[in-house]
Amino acid sequence: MEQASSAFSTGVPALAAIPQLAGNSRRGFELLASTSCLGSSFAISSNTLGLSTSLYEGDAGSRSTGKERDTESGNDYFEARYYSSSMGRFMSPDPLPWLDWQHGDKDDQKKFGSFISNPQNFNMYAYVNNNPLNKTDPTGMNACGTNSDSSCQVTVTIQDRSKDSNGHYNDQYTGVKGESNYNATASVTVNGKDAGTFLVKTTPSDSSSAATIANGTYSGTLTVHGSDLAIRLQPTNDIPTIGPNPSRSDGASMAQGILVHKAGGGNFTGVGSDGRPVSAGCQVVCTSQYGAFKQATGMSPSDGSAPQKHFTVIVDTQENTPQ
Amino acid sequence: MRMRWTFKWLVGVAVCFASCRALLAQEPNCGEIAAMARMARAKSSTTAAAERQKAGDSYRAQVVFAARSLELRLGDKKAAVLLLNLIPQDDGQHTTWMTMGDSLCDAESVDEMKSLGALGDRLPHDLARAVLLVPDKLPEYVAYAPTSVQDPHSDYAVQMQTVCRGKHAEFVKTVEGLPTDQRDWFVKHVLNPDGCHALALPEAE
Repeated sequence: MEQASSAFSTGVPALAAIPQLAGNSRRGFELLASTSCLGSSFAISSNTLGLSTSLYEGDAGSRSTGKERDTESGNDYFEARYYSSSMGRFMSPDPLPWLDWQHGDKDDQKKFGSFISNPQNFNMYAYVNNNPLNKTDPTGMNACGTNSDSSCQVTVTIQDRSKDSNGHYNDQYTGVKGESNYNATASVTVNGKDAGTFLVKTTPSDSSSAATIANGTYSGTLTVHGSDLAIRLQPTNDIPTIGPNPSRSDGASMAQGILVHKAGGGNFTGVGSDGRPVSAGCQVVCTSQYGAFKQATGMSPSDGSAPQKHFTVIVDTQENTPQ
Repeated sequence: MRMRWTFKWLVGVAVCFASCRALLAQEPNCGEIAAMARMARAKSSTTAAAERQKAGDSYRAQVVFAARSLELRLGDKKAAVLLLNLIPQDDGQHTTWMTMGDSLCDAESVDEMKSLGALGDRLPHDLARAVLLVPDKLPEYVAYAPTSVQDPHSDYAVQMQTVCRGKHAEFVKTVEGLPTDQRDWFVKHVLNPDGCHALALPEAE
């Protein structure tokens, strides 16, 4: 427990930690840094604990994908509350909606019953039920997003990015390298709580050889895409498209094998020099945000616990609207 | 009256039991999926055969066994035939090929999914190798191509270039033997047999 706290927290502000940790692999820390849509991202892992997975991931330029250190207090910002690395406790109660569950419908009552049966849930200052070696808490709310739990509702809502009157994007991603490749954002919620928003391209790299899928609410299943993880939209064989699919000999307005997966290297979303498209209808998430996307959806929990395997994917954009 | 209701109830139960059994026979359980994953990464034919016993009799298990058997015994015509006989014949079987790396039960691990997903990615390559060993199966192999490449991640056409080059005369003859509309689609959208040039390219990863 003490080991976990000291490994989780380096005792220095996040940005300052980058150069400090970069040469610290002998002390058990590894630093992985990369260029991101949002700036620079980094991940800290510890091999002194025998853990191969990341203990701390963040984005130096934004709070949306990681936990920033408050330089004055030394506490970690978890969106909903601050975590004191020195005390191993949050500095404010967990704002879970269990009070609402108590007075809600049958399902809510069931959640409430399950919640109160665990005494650790009454320690509202605990971090992942005082089990930091086995669990993480990416949102600061609970470990829900990191377990394959059918009662855990993970929804990915893909919607248009906001534009100004001249048709230029005017959201928080403006000016970031590669952002114009993405026409939409995917907002992830875990049991109704925000878990992050990520850039997405919803249209094929080459519209002459693949179709754009139609707006709709799809169920999703965890799948493998190359060496990475992705979400497969269901039904596998019959995803409606907004026009005839050029890849089908029967000309049907249907696509198959559609995934939500990572975009190409360097946030590329087009057709490569070898003629291969990054997307032939799939929904592609900004490459440098994909690690955070997988954590937010629970596809790839940083603590190695069981991944979330069932999702709801809502596509609701102009580009995916039938004419 | 009561007798009739009892009869109807019994018939209902029997129908339900039969359909449930049929469904269970099609969908592998978690233990069978774990065995399939071990089969997909087996280092010897003996190990693969041992896992085959635990993996059940689903179409998915048969494909995994056949593909891995061929990978472990590269020149084995019997293994090649085994895989070629499993070329998808309907949407259900095609979906199985597309979803090798999918989560199929709540208990399987990501490593198991990745083992099966990697084998799924290798299927077009394995199939190309198999048909080079058993060119008699070229018609079935070529006929599945237009369906396979509808999956944006399938490199079936790319792998088919090897077959086209390796057995060019037979390959061209097979393509020419397709019904006219299918042949036209094939040469314009899947693969150009003249230069053995793939036209349906998979997404980059």
